[in-house]
Amino acid sequence: MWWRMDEQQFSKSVFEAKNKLFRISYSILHNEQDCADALQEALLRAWQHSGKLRDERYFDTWLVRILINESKRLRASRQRRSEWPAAPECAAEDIGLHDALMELDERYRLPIVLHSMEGYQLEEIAYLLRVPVGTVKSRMHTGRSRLKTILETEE
Amino acid sequence: MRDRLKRAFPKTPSSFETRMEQVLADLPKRRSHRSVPRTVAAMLAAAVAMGGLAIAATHSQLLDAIFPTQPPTPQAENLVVELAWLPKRKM
Repeated sequence: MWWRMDEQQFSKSVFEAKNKLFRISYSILHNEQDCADALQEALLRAWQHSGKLRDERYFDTWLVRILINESKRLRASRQRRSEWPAAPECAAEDIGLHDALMELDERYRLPIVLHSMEGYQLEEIAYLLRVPVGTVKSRMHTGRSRLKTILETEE
Repeated sequence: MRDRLKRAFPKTPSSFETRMEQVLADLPKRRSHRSVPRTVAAMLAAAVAMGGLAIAATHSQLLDAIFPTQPPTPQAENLVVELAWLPKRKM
């Protein structure tokens, strides 16, 4: 069965995921402007390849995977050119947890954000991060314990 | 835990939303030009490849090697002789 998403469906699905897309991108880039740049690239890429998606149920996971790849690519490009901007003052309500999360290594932070905050299953996170499910489990375990340690140290 | 984590992130800024709206508004201009589905393209390529193989096999000695020519049987020769006596069909 050939299925292709039209502009309206695409826009509606993207808008529904707006806050989630921002948080996931922010957890990699820590910078609002860069998040917008990564989102732009991700949306264009997703739209151009939307014909490859055979089932609209997987659109959300598919788009998030593209966004994660674009965010990582942008970060790597900035790091190569030493253009990494200083993170602006954060407007989060819980600054303590924000700082602790950002202090955590990304490979531990992302699974926690995707599972505990955005509600993805372990198998979905494995697909999103291109790692085995066992690795996701172990990273989540290590990440939680490190986060706890950071928060206790700060208190 | 989920709510506390959400408070650890800044709210989605308006610049992010604006960029999203701009990109979505531009989507019709950026429609993918791929009009032929991949399966059709693959079928065409397979047909061309098979045609090429058939021509190559006919022009080479491959078919003769696989199916060596044998002299006709006496029955077949008789049949040809009998057919030669048939009256020609009027056009």
